[in-house]
Amino acid sequence: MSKSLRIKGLFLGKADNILIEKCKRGDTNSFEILVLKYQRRIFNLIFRLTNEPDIVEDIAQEVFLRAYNAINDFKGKSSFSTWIYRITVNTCFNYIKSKRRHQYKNLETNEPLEKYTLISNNLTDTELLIERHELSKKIKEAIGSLNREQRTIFVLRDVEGLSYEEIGKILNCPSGTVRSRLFRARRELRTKLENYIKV
Amino acid sequence: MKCKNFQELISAFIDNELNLRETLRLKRHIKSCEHCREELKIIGKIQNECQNEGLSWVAPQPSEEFSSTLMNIIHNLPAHQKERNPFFLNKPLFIIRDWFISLMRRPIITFSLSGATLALLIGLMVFSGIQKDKLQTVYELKQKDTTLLAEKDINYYINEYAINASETPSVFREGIIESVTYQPSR
Repeated sequence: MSKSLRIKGLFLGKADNILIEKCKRGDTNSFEILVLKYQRRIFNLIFRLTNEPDIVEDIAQEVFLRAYNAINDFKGKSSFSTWIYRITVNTCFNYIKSKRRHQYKNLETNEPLEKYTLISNNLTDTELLIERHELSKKIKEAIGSLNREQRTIFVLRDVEGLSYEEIGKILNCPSGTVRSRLFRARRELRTKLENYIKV
Repeated sequence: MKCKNFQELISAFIDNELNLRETLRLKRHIKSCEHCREELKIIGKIQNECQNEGLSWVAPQPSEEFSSTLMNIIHNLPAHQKERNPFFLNKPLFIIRDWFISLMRRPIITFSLSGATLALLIGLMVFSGIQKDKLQTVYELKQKDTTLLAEKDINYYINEYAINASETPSVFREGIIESVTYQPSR
């Protein structure tokens, strides 16, 4: 890691509200610290919403540029992470709409799973490994068949671990709506996966 | 309550998003309903597997140049996009702006303010109209007979007739001329 990044790393612990106030006064270094702090999470969210590793960096750049231009409008009513997640989700939606994609891309490709980093890969038994691979493929297909809103809520809740209230702020809808959409998404996943998952 | 009404509660229960009342109602139902107990197990298992699958989707790492490239773009933005208010103006301006916006969101206040502004404008117009007539009267009187009309006479009678401002300008004017003609100067 370069020296400048290491030095900036020391400031990553600074509270977001202090950095944001400095950004509002025109301090671009504070904005860079925010970028370093959130880039990993934004990259992951974009990838999980679009499943296109090639355009993640481009979309992330657009997200941060939008955040920079709109920083004066950030009132602090929600956390900065919620606010930038909202920008990210809207930017991804715009991208998906512009490409007229409603399905999860690369579902039918024969790309090996190794392209996507597996966190846990301790299986040694070959049959279990193959079974696991098949199950993973089925789960990916099932998630891909969800509509855009359901998939976004699934990613924000089950993968990012956000609460219903936070998801509601990101998607600009009541938490009751989040609850019912998530329930419908899980009902669909259940229909598609109940024969493959042993209870 | 039928089982299908508890399905959504089961989903929210897995996320720990039920309030106390809903939790107790669901737990009470599950104790006596095997179907919902099975449903809870299945939904829980599927949610767990999907979550593990989702967590395995990890994006490529941001390159070291990502932030520096982004900051270069920001530094090269046109001036009006980079402009930020100076600190001493920033907060007060935003406070005033936000107060005004919140005020305009209340229809009663907006309507009252508009009505008051309109009434004030109309009042100013009428008042200036009366003042204009008064000035015109004094001018005409002066033109008529400068020997007869002393400044103090004119002011005296204008002040006296100003009490009856509701009279029409022509009556007001005639009253002044009549009074000046028959009253000696003081």
